[in-house]
Amino acid sequence: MNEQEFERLWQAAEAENYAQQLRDEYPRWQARRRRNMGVAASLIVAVGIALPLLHRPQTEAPAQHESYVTAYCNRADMADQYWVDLAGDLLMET
Amino acid sequence: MTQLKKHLLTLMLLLLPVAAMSQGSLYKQYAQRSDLKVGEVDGFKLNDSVRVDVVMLQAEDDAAWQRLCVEFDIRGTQTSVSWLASPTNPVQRVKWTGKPVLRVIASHKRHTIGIYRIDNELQYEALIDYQLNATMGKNAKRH
Repeated sequence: MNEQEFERLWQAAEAENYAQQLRDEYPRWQARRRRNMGVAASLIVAVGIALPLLHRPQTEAPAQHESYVTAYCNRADMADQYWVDLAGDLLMET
Repeated sequence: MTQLKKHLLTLMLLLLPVAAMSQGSLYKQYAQRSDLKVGEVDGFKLNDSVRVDVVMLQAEDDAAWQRLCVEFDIRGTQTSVSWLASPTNPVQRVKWTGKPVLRVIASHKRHTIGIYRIDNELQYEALIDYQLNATMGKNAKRH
C-alpha cells in the first residue's frame, strides 16, 4: 500500500464513520424536534386561549342584580359583603 | 431545553401585566397600615345604571381612629362628617365644579372613613339620590 492508497482508504473510512454517526443521531434529532414543536404548539394554544380571557375589557357591564363588581381588602379573614354593606351604611349615616 | 425556557419566558412576559391587578392607588396607599382595615369595593351600585368605586379605612382601635382623625383633619364629635376632596388627596377639601372629586364620609360611630370616587355629574347626583332615598327609607321605617 502506497501513501496515496492509504490516504484514499483513510478518507473513505472517515466518511463512513460520519455517515454512521448521522444514521445513529438522526432518530434522536427527530424526536427532539418533535418534542420542541409539541411544546411550542401547546404554548401557542395556551396563550391564545388565556390572553383573550385574561385581557377582557373591564368595562363589561356587571349583572344588574349585583350590588358590586369586585371587592378586596388588606385582611384575609374579611368577607366582601362586609365592605359592600359598610359602603352603603356610611352613605345612610350622613 | 433552552427553547422551552424561551417559550416559558415569553409566556411569563405576556401574562405579567395580568398579575399586576388594578388595585386603586388610594387603596395601595393605606393597605400596608397595620392599624387600619382597608377595603375597596369597585362598582358599588348606586342605581340601575350608575356605580362608584369606594375605598374604606376602618381603624382597629380608638387610638388608630384618633390618628386617622388627625390625618384627615376631622374635628368635632358629630356622628359623621363628610366633604368633597381632591381626587388625589382625600384630606384636601374642594368644592364641586363638575370635575372628578372624592366624596369622603367619616363616621365616628364606626371608626371608619369612606372615600367614594366621583368621576362625573351622573355619579355625583346618583350618590346624593342614594343618600336621600336611604335616609327617607330609614325614616319611614321609624314611623
